[in-house]
Parts: sequence; structure tokens; C-alpha cells
Amino acid sequence: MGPVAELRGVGQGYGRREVILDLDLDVRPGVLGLLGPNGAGKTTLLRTLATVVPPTRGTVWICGVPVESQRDAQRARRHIGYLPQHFGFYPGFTVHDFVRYCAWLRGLPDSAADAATHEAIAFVDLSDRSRAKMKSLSGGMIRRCGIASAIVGRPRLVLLDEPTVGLDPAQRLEFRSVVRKLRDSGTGVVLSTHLVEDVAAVCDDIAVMANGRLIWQGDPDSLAAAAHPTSDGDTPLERGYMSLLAGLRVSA
Amino acid sequence: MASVAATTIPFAAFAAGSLHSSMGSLEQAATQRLVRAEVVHVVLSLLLAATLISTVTVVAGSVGGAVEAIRNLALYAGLALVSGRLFGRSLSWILPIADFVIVDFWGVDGAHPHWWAWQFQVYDNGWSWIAAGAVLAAGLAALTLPPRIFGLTITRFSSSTSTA
Amino acid sequence: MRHVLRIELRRSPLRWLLPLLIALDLAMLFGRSTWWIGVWPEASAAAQLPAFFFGILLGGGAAWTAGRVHRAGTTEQLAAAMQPRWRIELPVWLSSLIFGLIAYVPGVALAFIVSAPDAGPGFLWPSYLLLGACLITLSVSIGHLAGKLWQSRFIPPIAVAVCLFGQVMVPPIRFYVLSGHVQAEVSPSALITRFTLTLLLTAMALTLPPRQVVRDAGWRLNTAPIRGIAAAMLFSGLATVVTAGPLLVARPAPADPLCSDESPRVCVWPENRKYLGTIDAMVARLVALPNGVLKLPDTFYERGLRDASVPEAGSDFQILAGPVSVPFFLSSAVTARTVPDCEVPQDVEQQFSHEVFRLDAYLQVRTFGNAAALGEGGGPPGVDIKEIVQVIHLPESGQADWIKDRLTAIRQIGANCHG
Repeated sequence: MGPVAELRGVGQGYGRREVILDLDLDVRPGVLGLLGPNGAGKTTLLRTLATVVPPTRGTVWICGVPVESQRDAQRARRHIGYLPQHFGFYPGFTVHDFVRYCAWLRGLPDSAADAATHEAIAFVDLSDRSRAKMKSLSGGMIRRCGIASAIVGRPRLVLLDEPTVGLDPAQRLEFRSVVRKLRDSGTGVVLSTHLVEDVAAVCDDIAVMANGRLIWQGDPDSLAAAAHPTSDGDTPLERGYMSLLAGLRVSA
Repeated sequence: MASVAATTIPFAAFAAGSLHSSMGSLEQAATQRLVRAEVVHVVLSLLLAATLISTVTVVAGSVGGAVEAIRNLALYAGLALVSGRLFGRSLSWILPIADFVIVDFWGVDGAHPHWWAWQFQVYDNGWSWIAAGAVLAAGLAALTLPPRIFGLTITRFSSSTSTA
Repeated sequence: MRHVLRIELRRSPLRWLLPLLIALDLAMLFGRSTWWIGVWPEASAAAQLPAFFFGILLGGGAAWTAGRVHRAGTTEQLAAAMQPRWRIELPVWLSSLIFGLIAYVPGVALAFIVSAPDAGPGFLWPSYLLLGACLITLSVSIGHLAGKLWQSRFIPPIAVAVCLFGQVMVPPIRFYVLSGHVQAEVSPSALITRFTLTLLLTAMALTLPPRQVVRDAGWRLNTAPIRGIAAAMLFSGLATVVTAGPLLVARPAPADPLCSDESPRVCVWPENRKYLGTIDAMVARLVALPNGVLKLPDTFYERGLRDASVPEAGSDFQILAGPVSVPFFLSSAVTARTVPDCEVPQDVEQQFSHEVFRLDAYLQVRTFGNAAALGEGGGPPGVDIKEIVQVIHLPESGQADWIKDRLTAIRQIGANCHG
């Protein structure tokens, strides 16, 4: 199956500060884990993929169509579900209102939006709380609402930026099961995180970013195999990730 | 008359509203030192506002108007502080504006303001000064009570919370 | 979008403000005066005026509603939306507007219901109602724009209050009228320019991106000119409103004024039909005085029915805030005909005026039926109201004699009197 998103020679920055440098990346159906230390450019990459900001260099393709203007971006957004790291909601809205509103933002027609809303809420297992006000929900439920808002209307590309921050272990397990369901439905998911165990649990592919560059890409087993015996970390994957970062520091 | 009363509202609401802090939830646990600092902040803001308004009004040629403006500033500041206490500091504007709407519409009987339309009284009306002082005192008293984090709700899902 | 609009209506913070807005609307309509009841243009203007006052609260509420983007931090999600900016803003703006109009309608409906029995055939004047609706829309749009532009939570409502109350101090840009006297109507050009300015502000409220979006939006190379263009258009719009002239302009006199059958006749504007009987009764009280002691015109006209070039048109009566103002004008018209035209030496000027004032005060009280005609503590200067009240309680012939005495005194004080 072809990629749902492609980046070719993409650069991104704010003013003179370069945040992403010359990045090539394919996002295919399945879960791509985006790992990297703080400031690596993960959020900027997701914002670029979400077409919120245009790249300063290079081209982004969404579902095979190049995004080169505001008009292209708005068309492409029909296929993109984006959950920002700091996502907001209106506390007076119910779960149903919130997801339905996001369906409308995505451009779903009224005829399809209601069914899509129910489906998305059921997908994150919140059907019984669909009439509850957002302000009455627990942190984990709010995060699930966020995911529902990102997947409503079955977008082909779902971008999740640090979705497990603030969740307790049980909620993280629930989250992982939701992401697995997404993977099984053939959606392309980009999961940005700095929690290696989340990546290990759900990702088919891993991209490691540092200093605005993609420094490594492969499957979880390959990352575990890249581990240096003396690296820090409690799991093979963590040791592999830390080895990559250590190697980067040495070369710098 | 209405204009002299109205111009002080933004200053009063600004002085009271500037107490709003995005760290309100943390400040709930603060000691009395914070309350004292807030009182000083409000008083200094009001003094600055009074100086500004009265200077401009005197330059415009109305000494009496300047005195009335200071009284009205005190009155609206008191209302703004009470409003901040009732509805949350970022909604300090509600009571001053509601008061002005009501007083502007019903406060004048023909050519004479009713006794309760204090902001429309001439500067030498003693009762209006007593009323303005009382309202300001009530506002400052409300300030010394712990702030209500009205509608404190997580509206942004992240590692930090914010008020709504 | 209908579904989203329903969500916005159900969840808008303005729904809590709505009962207050309705209460304020009705209290302002009936709580200060009710003389407007039964006269279509007056009732229309009265129904329109509360919109100015509750518009301030409505604008503050609209600012609060629009500012939720900043408070809740949804800027990023909205930036990633497929919907264009204006479509995202539209349901929010529209919900605020609907709440404003819902608050406005009960006052309008009640103004119609209470006026219909007295006002005769007709309806509230749409131009005044449109002016009120225009003001509500303006309030919502200013509030929405302010709430969107300023991240601060308390500056937008204050900005709204300043914008709306600024009108009080700048009459050429007012969007409201205090009363709708029958001689005037809303100028179509003034209404159209105000409507256009409101549309312009609405367009700005819907399309101007918040600052944060401007900072991040890279798809448009430069968004700064948008704000510059908006500011220039707003300035032009304001200038157009100012140059469109006054909001109220004189109406042409009706071809068929409404006149009584009695003699002297009383003619009023057709819209003031409810006052015809009252004023006719006032004139009848003057006519009832025996011995032809007073000289009355053949017809008492309401102001505006006769061309201003007619010499006596300046003393035609006016109905200001009800019929209480009429005795003053009727008395003036009668006094001008009854009191002889004399030369008054300077040393007796005060004495002469005093006698004229006594007569004038008596005529006002006689016309109205009681001393309320002179207002609270009112009446011409130096006149003893108690004396006037005593005269009023004399038999008709006694009152006629008192008038003759005043006229005799006037002739004695003045010199070379005619008439």
C-alpha cells in the first residue's frame, strides 16, 4: 500500500531558527513512532504534516497530492486527524458535542457527521459518557475524547502529539489498545512521544529525530538491536534509543 | 454627565481585572503577604488612574469634573472588586457595566439625578462620597478574602492546566 | 452547519445572560415611561432603545464567547481545520446574534400588543426596528471581534463598552434614537450606511484571524495588509456614516391630518390619534369659559402639519413625552391672541410680565385640568401657584372675571394697547 503522507526535502523554521532540516519521510498505513528528545522537532514535523504550517523548503504530499497552497492544505485536511500536544476543548460541550464539532471542522457533511461521531466515540469506548460534559471527565477520558476528535470521519492519516502525557498506567494501556485498533483499520498513524515503551507497544516503524534531522528509521527490533551494551535504559528498545542519541553526541 | 461617569469604568475594571493571574490556583495557597501585595497593587493602580483622569479633566477645564471622576473611579473600582470576587477576576467588568447601564437609564428624573445615582451627583454631594467610599471599602474587603477560582476547569489537555 | 449552530446555541454562555437581557429589555421598555404606548413611531423607537443598553452586556457576552478560543486553547485545532476561518466563526457569531435578537423580540412584541388598541391601524415602524436590530448586530460583531483579537479576558468587554458608549459622545455615529416623534422618521440613507458599516464589522469579525493565527499562518505570505485594509475600510465606513447626515429627518406633512369636528378644531398627525380626544377636551375647557373672554384660533395644529413659513406655525403645539406638554403650547397660542399688544415701558416691564405669566399659568392649569400641567415646582417665574389653583376652583363666571381683571391690569400697565 502506498504512503499516506510523504515529505521530500522538507525544511521548517521560525524566523531564522531552523527546526527541521532537509527531511525525507514516508508515512504508511500502520503506526509510525516518532521518537526524539525535547526540541528535536517532532511537534514541528507533526504541525507540518497537519498542514498547519507550510514547509519553508521541500514538499509535503498528503494521500498523493502535493500541498502547495492554503487551498491544497484545506483539501488535504479532510484526510488528516490531528491531536495537538496541548489540545483544547470547550468545557461546556458534551463529549458528543465536542466530537461532532470536530467532525464539522474536518469538513464532514451533516449527513455523515452524526454516524461518524457515534462511531468515533464508540471507538474510544466512551459511548456511555457521550452526554457527559467535557469538564466532568477524567484526564484519561479527555484524552480519549481527543483521540475520537482526531479519528472522526476515518481520516487516512492520524497525527498524535505526545498523547500519553499525564495519563496513569491504566489509561496508557487503554490508549495503546485504541492505537492498535487504529492500526488494524489501515490508518496511517504518527505517534510522537518520548516514551519508548509506548512505541515498543504499538509501533510498526520508528523514526528517531534529533536536532531537526531524521537520524534513524526502522522497526522496533532493529532499534533494540542497535543498543550498545553499556547504554542507559531498562529495556532493549530504550538502550537502542539511548545508543543512537549517545552516538549523536559523540559525533557532534 | 454620563460621559464623566463612563470614562472611569475602563480604568476601574482594568485596575481590578489586572489582579487576574494565570497562577490563581497556586495563589490560593499563598500567605497574607500576597493579599497585602494585591491591595497595594490595586491602590497604586487606582492612584495612577485617578492622576491620569483628573489631570486630563482639569486640562479640559473642569476641576469639578475631575473631582467627580475620582469619586466615580472609587465607586466603580469597588464594584469591580466585588464583581471579581463574585464572578472571577477576569469578569471584574460585569458589575460596573451593569451598574452604569441601570443608573444611566433610570438614574435621572428629568434634570435631577436620583439620590442613589451617586455617579451623577455633583462633586460636593457628601452622600455620594460616603457611598463611593463604602463601595470601595466593600471591594477592598472582598479582595482580602481568598480568590474564587471561578470556573477552574481543565480546558487544555497537557501537563499544565489553565482556568476557563 | 445547522447542527453546529444548535450545539453553539445549547452551550453558549450567553444562555445564562438571556433572562437578564430579556428582563432588562422589558424593564427599560416599561420601567421609565409609558407615554409612547399607542403611537406607532414612538412605540417603535421605545422598543428599539433598550437594544442600546442591553447591547453593551450582549457585546461583552459575545466578546467572552469569542474569547473561548484563547481560554480553551483551541487555536491549534482550528488552525488545522478544513473549514475556512469565517465558517468556523460563523456559528459562534450567529449564536450570539440569535440570543441578542431573542432578547429584543419580546420587547418589540409587547410594544406592538400594548400599542395596537390605541394606535389604530398600522404597525410598528420597521425602520426603527431595523435600527435596533442593526445595533444588536453591531454589538455582537464588535464583541466578537474584540474577543477574538485580544487574548486578555477583561479588555474585550471593556473595549465593547467604550465602543458602544462612545456613541453617546459622538452623535453623528449613533445607532439609536431616544424617541420617535411623529414629525420625524429614520433617514433611509443614514440607516443604509449604518447597516453597511455593521455588515463591514461583521465581515471583519468573521474573517480577521486572531493574532496568534497571523503569527503562525505561513500559507499567506503576509497577513499584515489584511488588518491595514480592514482598518482603512472601517475608517471609510465611519466617514460614510457621518456624511450620510442625521439619523432622524423631518417627515412631510400628511395630506389628511386627523382633525376633530368641534370648533375650534384640533388637528394632529394621524399617528397621534390617541391624543386627539384628550387635546380636544383641553380646548373644550378653554371654550367653556363664558363671555368670550378668550380669543381662540379656528384650528389648533400640531407642529409640522403646517408649513413652517406660515406665521403662526411656530406656536403650533407639540406632544412631547405625552400630552402634558400640550397645555403650554395651547396657552401660548391663546395668550398671543388674547393679550393686547402694548408698548411696555422699561420700568413696568416686570409688572407687565407678571400679569401675563399669571394668565399663562392659569390657562395651562385650566387646559390640563390640574396643576400637573406646570410640572413639579414649575410654572412661569414669580407666579403663585396656590392662587392659580384657587382661581381654578371658582365658578366659571368667576374665572372669566379673573381673566378680565388680568387683561385690564395688562392694559393699565402697558401703553398704547391694541386688541
